[in-house]
Amino acid sequence: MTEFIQLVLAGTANGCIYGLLALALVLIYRSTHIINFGQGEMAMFSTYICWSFLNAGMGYWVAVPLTLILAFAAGIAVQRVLIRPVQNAPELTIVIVTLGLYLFFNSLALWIYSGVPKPFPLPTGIRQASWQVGDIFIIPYHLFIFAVLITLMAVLYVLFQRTKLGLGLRAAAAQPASSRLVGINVNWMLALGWGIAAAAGALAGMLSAPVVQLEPNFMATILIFSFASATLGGFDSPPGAVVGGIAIGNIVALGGRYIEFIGTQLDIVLALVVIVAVLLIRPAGLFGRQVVQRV
Amino acid sequence: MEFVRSFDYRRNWFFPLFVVAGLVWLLAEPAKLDAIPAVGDLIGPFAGMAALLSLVAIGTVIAAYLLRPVLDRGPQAERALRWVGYGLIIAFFACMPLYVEAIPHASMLKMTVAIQFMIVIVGLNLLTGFGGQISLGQGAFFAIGGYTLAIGFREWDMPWGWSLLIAPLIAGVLGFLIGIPALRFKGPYLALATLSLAVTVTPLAKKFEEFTGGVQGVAMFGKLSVPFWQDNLDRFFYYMTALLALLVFVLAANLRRGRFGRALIAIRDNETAASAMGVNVALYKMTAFGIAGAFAGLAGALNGVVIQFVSPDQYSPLLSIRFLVGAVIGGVATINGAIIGGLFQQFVPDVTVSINKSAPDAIQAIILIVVMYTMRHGVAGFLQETWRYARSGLRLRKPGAGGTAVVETVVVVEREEVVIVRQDGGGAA
Amino acid sequence: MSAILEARNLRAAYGDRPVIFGIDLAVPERGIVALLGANGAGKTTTLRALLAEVRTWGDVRYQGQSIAGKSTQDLVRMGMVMVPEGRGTFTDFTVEENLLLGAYSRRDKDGIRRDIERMYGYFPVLGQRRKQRAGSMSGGEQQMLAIARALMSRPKLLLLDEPSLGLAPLIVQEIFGILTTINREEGVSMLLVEQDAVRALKVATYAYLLETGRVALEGTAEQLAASDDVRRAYLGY
Repeated sequence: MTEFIQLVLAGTANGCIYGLLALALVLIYRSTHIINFGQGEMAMFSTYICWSFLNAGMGYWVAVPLTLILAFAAGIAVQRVLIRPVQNAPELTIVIVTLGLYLFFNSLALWIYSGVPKPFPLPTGIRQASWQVGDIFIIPYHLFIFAVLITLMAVLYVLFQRTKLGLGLRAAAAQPASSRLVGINVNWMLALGWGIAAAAGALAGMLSAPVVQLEPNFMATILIFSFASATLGGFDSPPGAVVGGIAIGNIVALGGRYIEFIGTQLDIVLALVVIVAVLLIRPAGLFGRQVVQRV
Repeated sequence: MEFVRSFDYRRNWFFPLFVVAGLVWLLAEPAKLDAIPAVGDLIGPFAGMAALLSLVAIGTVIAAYLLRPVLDRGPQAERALRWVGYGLIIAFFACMPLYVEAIPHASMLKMTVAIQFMIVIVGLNLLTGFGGQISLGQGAFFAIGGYTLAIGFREWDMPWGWSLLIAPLIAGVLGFLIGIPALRFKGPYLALATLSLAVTVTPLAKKFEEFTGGVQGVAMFGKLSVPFWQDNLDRFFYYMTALLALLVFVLAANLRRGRFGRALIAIRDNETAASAMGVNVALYKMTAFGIAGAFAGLAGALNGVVIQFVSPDQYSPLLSIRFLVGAVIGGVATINGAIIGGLFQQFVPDVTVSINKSAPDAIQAIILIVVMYTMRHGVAGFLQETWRYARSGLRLRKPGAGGTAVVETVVVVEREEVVIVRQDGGGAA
Repeated sequence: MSAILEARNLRAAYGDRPVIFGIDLAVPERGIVALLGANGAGKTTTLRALLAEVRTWGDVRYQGQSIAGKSTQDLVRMGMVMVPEGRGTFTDFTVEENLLLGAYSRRDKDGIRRDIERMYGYFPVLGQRRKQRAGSMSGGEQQMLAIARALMSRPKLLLLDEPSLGLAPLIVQEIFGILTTINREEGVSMLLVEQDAVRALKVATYAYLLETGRVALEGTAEQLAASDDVRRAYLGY
């Protein structure tokens, strides 16, 4: 039982990170129906930028917000420069362009920072040692990750549901043509969506870097888990992405321990199984809206 | 739905400029083409490729001009000329040993691998270009081919020739079966599902150590015997691969031209309409997956034979992405594009890797995006378009039968309405 | 009477395909002008061209100044608002959120609040359903919502695209009643695209008849209603 709880705690912490990146995927998919295959690599590159800041002597609490702002701006730039020209192009074109983003950021990171793993610090003020409650060890950093996720969700909820900008963002995503007619600058709303997504992804990268080592491919596996999370939660539901993320985190942690065959090597197969199973059984995911396709 | 849009000179007026710039660069200092890696930055490869592309484009225009008297005799002459073209391409590959040394960065082995890439890409062109099914998982079928060879060699001492038969069979059946879940996925979802297929290959191969040899892989160096040319294995494998590739190309071209190809395109362009016309959508999609899988399996087995080594890390997800990139750059809805795609995937990384170990991927990424913006039918589509423009005397007229036909129908419909209105009005007068 | 909108030699194209070949039209201040014509005559395209939603050439003046190069959202801010065909309801949003979206280009919170209440006055049915998902309402209710949403931006000129499409005659009558009231009480000018020529010519003061992207006939509503051509082709008597 103790081990089970321990696994759930660790799985939830990892799941929060998957959920964050899934959130980024969902924010973009919801507004533009693009699955951004480059999302993980953009996050990875942002994490390297943050590492550079830290390496230059900047404090954690300065470097991280600064990186988030840069990631936000970069997300907007990517949408304006690269995605907008192909926005209405056939879906193969868009998939290819986002794969181009994947290749580009991956190779750029390898080029600039080399493949040698870099240590990434815990946030200043978060202690390394764990607390013991009964038989269970609680790692402070896991709680921190959870708190960050909850805070971000709250901020996004207020932004989307309680502000005029949020209303515009939602409207532009749901019905771009009508939005234009009420005077919403739809193109900017889509770009802002990419910016928010890039920042959320960067956050996922910077939160996971202390746990796994920072190297150019460290987000690739996380991206697959995030795909599974977003598929499970529903590609058009931001809360679904987070719930899906936590679910996947636990499925992977528990499956790896209790299913003999999976072990630690095949955890990615679990993600594949989830993706295919969800797409077959309930393509809209747990929280997504079933869309009736009109002919 | 329009799946891939072709190159349009008017919308992409800057592209010919880009080509001309590349040409100027080339003429200014021809020696640079050789010295590309030595340039030491990224501009070299791009300018080199632009120059190469511009040379070919200009060659196309000149050919169209010189061959005018023949071509003007009618469609039969044009068809004959196309066969001459195919003959030239085949002759080029057939006589490879004569000049392979003279081509920078080339060798018989590299050419063999390039042709194996072509085999995968032809399958992908059928599946993605004509069938509209995006697959990021061809690497998985390639791996199945490789491991059919390796496991057969390891477990049962199976002669490698058998794997060339068995691998496409296994990969084809698996592809066909994977087509079933794929029926329910559309567009990016399909890309996602097939990508996860590609991702699982490496961990699976590592997991089943007892068959696959785990991380160490299976080495077959010097243990694969060939019937002749024992002293020149590279040459033997080259011709074997090239012959099989020719077979694959002929098969693909026939599939494309026949009933199968028409059905696939119909499904791609309008699935509902195709199904309403009695096309068995499920069967055709699954068959397309099966064929693409079989081609990839064959190529994978060939690759294992030639490299004589199979290990999990050869089959990273990046391999699958590279196949798709090659297909797209060559021209995804063409058969001939696979030749360009295969050569590109073998030689561009090879040439650029000396700049930096990650330069090939960076350059591919940039080329990929540029190609997507400028020529969505890839290099082959670009050359076809160039040929058509050259044939129509470089008039700025939009070629392409499909688009024009649609516009004409609309116009006709409008005219009918006008006629009706006028008839009513006339009746009153 | 001066014109709020004046277009000279208006041309428009979808991609490379021209659809409108030089239209001259004017909407007088506080007036209602009808745009009639068969399917494919270019009525909707004319509206979309005026709002810069398609590739457009020609000289268009709104309140006396040229609007060349202005984007759709600029024009909405300037008070030129379209009620699109098919109503353009934000289906997943509540009725109230739809009205707030209509006021997206405005910044005066109190004024927006007051205007929402005013809309509930014009359209009581919307007031009863303010928290309901707009997509779940009937066609007539959604059409009312579309008009209310457009009015929320305090427009000076409304471009209405087939407000009667697919609605029961009684509902159409109610909607046209409200439109004339709004025109009279608030002085909103209207350019009305309609298939139902009888109804349109009743509320409009002036009308244009489009045929394949050109003005085939124009005149006061009475003149057009009396014209044999129009009667035979569009009025059906």
